Amino acid sequence: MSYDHYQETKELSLKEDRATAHLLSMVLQEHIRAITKTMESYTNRPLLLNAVRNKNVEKTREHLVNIIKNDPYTESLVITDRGGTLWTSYPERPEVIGKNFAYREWYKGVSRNWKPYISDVTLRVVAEKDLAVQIVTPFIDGKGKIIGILLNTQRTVGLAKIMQQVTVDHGTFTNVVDRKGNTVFSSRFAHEKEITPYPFYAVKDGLISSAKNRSAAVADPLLGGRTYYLSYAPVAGPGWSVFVGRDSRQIVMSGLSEYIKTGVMTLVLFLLSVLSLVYFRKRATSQRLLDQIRADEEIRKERDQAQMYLDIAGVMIVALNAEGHITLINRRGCEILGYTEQEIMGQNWFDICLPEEMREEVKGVFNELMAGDTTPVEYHENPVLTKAGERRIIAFHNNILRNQSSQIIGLLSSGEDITERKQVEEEIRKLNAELEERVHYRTAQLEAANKELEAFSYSVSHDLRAPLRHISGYADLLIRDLHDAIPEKGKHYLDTIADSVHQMGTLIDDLLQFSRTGRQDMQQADLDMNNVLQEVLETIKRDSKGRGIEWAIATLPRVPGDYSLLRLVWSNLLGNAVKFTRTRENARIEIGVHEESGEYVFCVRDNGVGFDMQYAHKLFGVFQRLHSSKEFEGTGVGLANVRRIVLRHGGRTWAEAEPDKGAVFYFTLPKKKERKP
Amino acid sequence: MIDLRVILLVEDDPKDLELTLRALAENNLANRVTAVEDGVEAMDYLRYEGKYKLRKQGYPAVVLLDIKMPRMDGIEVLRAIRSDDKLKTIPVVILTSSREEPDLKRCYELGANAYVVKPVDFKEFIDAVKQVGGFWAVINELPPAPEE
Repeated sequence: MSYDHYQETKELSLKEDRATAHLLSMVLQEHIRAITKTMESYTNRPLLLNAVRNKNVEKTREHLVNIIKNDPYTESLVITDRGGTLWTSYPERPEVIGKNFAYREWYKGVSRNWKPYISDVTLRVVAEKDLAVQIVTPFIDGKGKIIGILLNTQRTVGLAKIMQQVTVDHGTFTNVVDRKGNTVFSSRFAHEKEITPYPFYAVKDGLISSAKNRSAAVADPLLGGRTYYLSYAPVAGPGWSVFVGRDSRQIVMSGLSEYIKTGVMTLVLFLLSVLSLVYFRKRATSQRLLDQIRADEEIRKERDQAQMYLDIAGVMIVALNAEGHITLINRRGCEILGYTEQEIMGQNWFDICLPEEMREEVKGVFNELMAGDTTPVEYHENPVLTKAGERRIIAFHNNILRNQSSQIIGLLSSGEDITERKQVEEEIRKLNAELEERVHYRTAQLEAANKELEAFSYSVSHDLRAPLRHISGYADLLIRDLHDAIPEKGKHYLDTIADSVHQMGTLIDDLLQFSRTGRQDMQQADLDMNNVLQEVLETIKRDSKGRGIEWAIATLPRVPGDYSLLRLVWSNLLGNAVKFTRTRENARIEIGVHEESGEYVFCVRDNGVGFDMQYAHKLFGVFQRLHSSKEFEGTGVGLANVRRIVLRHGGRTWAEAEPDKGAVFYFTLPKKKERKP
Repeated sequence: MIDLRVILLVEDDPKDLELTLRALAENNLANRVTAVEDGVEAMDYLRYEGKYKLRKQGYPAVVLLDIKMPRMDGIEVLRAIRSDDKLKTIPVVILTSSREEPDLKRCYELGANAYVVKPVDFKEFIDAVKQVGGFWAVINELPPAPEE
């Protein structure tokens, strides 16, 4: 073989090898990327994230099973927590549950910046304990917190199978080497039980720099020092390298034949054309393969995304064809109905999922819909039958499905399970009815009690007064008629009797009034407090004429309230102020008001005898007095009245004073009408 | 000569009767008073029935009517008077212990001319009687006598 011929053949072969290396690297890259993307789509699923957060073994198992089902190259999946402690795996490997793998290269890799990571070749610690690489993706929840790690173990034998999809020249070898220079896979050397460095890894450094010519020649000790050509392509994703190796003798062998001397040109041409055909076909094949891989990838991505949307949905989504068979159902639908996707797909919706009594009717409506005779009701609530025979109420939204030519091909429904809501609504209705009843009963009781009280007061009012009048009358007659016959002492006794009688009369009146203020219906109106006050003032001023009381009266606002009851309040308060300033030369009574958080605060201030704050809490009690009747008359009901009336208006009462320094009495009234009297 | 106008006092309680008569006496109105014990007697008197068949002709200037009485109570007397054509114009003053609103309402609805609550204090009572008796039995113009 001539040197030129050898060179030509060699160049062609090496070009061929480089293309092969490139193809192999693309295939490997694509494979790894596909797996990584699948894993990432899973680690982003909210349902799975939730299951991982709660370390729910059953729920996560479902997802892991799904991944393995859909990817023949994934054999083993494992989930660890953020710190690298394993808590579940599929297939199940109880021997490693609870073990911590933070010492492994894959953990160190992924925990560097929590991005997907492909490890270098490692020796597995479980099962076959053979060579593998780990593809890892982190679980990151909505708030950016790392809640776990998903680990996909790819055995090198599996990777080898992938690589073998690409046909290589006879006499060439394929090697894949990791970042550390260890062999991931080699068609030349079969080693699966130990990590072996690739002998020619150093060649890579020289080859990377030259972009075009990524082939090199080495002296291969295994070939007795003979030249061994290596063509290199990087596997970008994991940072690995593909080396396609060719024995130089193989080149020589292919060219060296005395027979072909004459037909050397033909052979060369033939070889050339064959080679270039093969090369182009390979490129086409590789291109097609790449395209297919890419197209598959797109479809898979879109399908996964669509599936994700369907599965994230909290409502059930069902599609029926024109015959009423189920063509699509989402995860929630399966959950609600209790069937697995396999069990229910293709079944007749009406026969399986509707209660018997409505089956025919609903089927009829459906058929009309499919025939185009009616339009679907936008929203309706229907019971469905679960696998277990339970009835659940679903709120459905329906849409007719049409094909490209606008023909009706089915129905798409989304449904929300409102069974619980309906139950709650029923509960509420029942409770409300019960409440109504109870209110009626209580009201009737109250009305009865009120009536009794009224009768009681009536009795008191009339029957207690009569004897009092008699006592008063006869005592008076005694004095009138037997004036001279009665000694002074006797007259004194009779006067005392008359006084007591008088007192009792006042007491009865006060008590009746007190009772009335509690029972009486409030006549709510929008009152001008100034008017109410004026009316009371007139009487008070008239009764206290000659006393020289100084009045300082502010302008009062409008308030909602009962006229006669509020008049009583002023009457009592002003009456008290007048009474307890009796000992003063210059009595001064002030009436004021100010606004505070939705209420009016009224006050009556006097400079009278005041009281001891120690007993302030007794002030507004019935019959409670802070002064003896020797000092000041009174029954002790007046302020109790005031408090009761103010309370009924939704206000408060209180007072402040100092002995001999006067007193201030406060009461509040809300600015807006209270709801109950 | 001024016709002595009669006051018909309808009162069942003897103590109240004595006190009221005394109050009227303090005002020099005692000699005009005819007292009956209950509602039935009051109607007999007004209708010239029973033991009053042969009483002197003429109607009282005012009826002082207590409410709480046995057999026929004050409200019923009032109703009877007001529904009798011959008697309906006679002035009726309710004189009672009770100040309860239902009684008040009822009496005015039935056409009482006045409603006076007997004060507990006797002196006040005397004063009230003076005003009431003085007005109705002296000052007030009587309605004309009904046709026979």
